[in-house]
Amino acid sequence: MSESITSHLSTRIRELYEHELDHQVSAINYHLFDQTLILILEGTVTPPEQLLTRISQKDLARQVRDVLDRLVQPQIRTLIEEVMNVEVVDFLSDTAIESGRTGAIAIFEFRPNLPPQTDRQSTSAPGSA
Amino acid sequence: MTENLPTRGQLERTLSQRLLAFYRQQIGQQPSKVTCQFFAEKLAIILEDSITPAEQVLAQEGKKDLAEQVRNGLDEATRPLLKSLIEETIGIEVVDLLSDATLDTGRTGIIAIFETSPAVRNPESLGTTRSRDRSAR
Repeated sequence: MSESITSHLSTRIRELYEHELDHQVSAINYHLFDQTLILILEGTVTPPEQLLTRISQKDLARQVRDVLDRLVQPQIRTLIEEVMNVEVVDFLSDTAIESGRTGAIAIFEFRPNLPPQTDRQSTSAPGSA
Repeated sequence: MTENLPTRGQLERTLSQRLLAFYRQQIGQQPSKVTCQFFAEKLAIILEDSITPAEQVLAQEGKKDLAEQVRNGLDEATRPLLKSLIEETIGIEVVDLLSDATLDTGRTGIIAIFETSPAVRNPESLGTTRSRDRSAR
């Protein structure tokens, strides 16, 4: 993926987390192959969820995370469609509360027509936009 | 030394075959297709037609919430075994295993994060991770 697209997408995803959850994601990693985009978001779990996990309320933290993911994930799907100008036909995502890592798989209708680049994998950290 | 190692493609094919057998044995549903793709110390797995007929019936009969509960239960039950299968096949510890399924499409997506990149004959095909944290700001 081109750096401009990952940079733009990362900015929009960070804005989404900040707007909806007042939370900053620490890093976003992308990998594109065929009609599939993999996103790895680091640092997505909020301080209240982390605290619940620390005090052995992991089931409650998991319930909180399910609700937050249901809020955020459809919006990430829409952002991907807007930024990459391609329809997402399936969007799968999960979060590991202990590590604070969210993984998402977006399946496209077609392989997106993106500018040429040399590396299929790219990482975007804050401030790189 | 490295000539004894599998290529990335061989490793992905071996794991795909084992995953087909795993799902057939564990939940009686063999996916129609498995795609495995390594990238650095991460692995993406996509299973097509991974939802059992029982779950499909529940979803078709308007019991989608129950179908999702069943799916979550199956995922929960198979997760430790799936993690072991991946670790045994790849030979590296899995530090995170993320998975989700869509009832409507029958597709399951899994992302495994490893401690390190797998040992393969063609490591250049795995790409590299250029991760930075917030302190890099």
